[in-house]
Amino acid sequence: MNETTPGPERFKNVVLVLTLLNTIFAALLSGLQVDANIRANNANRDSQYYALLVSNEFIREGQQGAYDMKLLTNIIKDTQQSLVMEFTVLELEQNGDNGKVADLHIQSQVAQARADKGISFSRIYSDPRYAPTEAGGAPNLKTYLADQFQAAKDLAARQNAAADDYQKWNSKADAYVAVLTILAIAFFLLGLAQSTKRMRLFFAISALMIMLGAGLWTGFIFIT
Amino acid sequence: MTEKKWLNPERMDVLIAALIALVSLTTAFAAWRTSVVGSSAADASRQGVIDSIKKGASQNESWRRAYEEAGYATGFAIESAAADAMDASGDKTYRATAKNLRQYLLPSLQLLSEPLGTQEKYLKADGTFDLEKRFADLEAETPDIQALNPIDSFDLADQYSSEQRWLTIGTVLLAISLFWLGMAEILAGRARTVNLFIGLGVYLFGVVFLLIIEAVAILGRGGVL
Repeated sequence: MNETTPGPERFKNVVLVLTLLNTIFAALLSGLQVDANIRANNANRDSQYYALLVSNEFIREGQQGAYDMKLLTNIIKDTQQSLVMEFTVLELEQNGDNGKVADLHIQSQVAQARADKGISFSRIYSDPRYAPTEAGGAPNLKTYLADQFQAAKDLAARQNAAADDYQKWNSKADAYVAVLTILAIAFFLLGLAQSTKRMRLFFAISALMIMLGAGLWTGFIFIT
Repeated sequence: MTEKKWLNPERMDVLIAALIALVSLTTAFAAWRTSVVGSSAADASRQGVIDSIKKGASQNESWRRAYEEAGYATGFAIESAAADAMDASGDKTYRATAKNLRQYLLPSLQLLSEPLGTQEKYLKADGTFDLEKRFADLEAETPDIQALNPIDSFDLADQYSSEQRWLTIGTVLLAISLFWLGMAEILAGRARTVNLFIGLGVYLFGVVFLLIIEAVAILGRGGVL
């Protein structure tokens, strides 16, 4: 028996080798597809996880913001009420109408007591980052609001990055599946090449071209 | 029987065919195991997401309760201050109002603010409430939820995914051995023997490679398949 068989049978062996090479190519490609799929799944999971964290953080910030702002508006309302009553007391005293002056003065003191107590509980008034820098000044609400949503913004940035990663790897995994489908066509052509004598070379070359094209496409997917 | 006679073409045909069948079976088994590991990775990931949802729901409720108590507690403190101011005014009407506030409104507010508004440990030095401490205490009331750790599940999923990748590489090795065995099938003479041994070598390497991956992965998980 010779080491290689001559004529059409030799091409038959070439077809067989091409089939085997195609099998290895498909196996390697499956490996790449599996890897891309795993990365896509992990990124998708991370994206969902961060979306949950963002949502929870927004809920927490909502609770905190509602509490801080309600306290702040009550402080402002009580302070304003106290001041308006004191103004009214002064006006009434100037007009010589002293009937309600004492009552209004007490109401003013009660409102101021409410405001002062509210201030003692307010984070906006006690935290040096937001507290007014001078007596009677306004708190730094711009910094407060910026800080308030910073944690959620950071989490949202991570969520976006994970979502982008998912898109990238999912596209790659899909593209690898498309290349695998192309390789199935090459398998089909190689099968035809094995079953025919006259067109064997044509089908074998066609399959080879497809395999080369698939190889180039795989390389492109891999590096992008 | 000499070695040369034992490796005659007929026996080699049978040997190669048997090896191809064995490699195919091993490849199928490796593909099955890869699939199982992939499913385990997906399960662990899903468990992590479910745990995150449970934990998040618990935390949201804890924060809601903490701020609800804080709202009542500040309300109590503010109305107490108002009542104090009314008492301090010396006015009879306001003192009567303060008395009624203390008798009817303030106890209800205090009750609603418990325990944040009534326990000293929740009051910070600057006068504000220690909401983080109250939150931590509320969370400690649900130890089963606290025991959930999504990151652990994600780490386990990553471990399974890593194993899946290596198993896929092992499967590719088996496919390569199939290539050499296929070459041995179509060739003759010395080239056939060489291809047969290369195929057999790659196959054995692939099997050992797969076994090592499995052993390392299972040991890494503390014996869990």
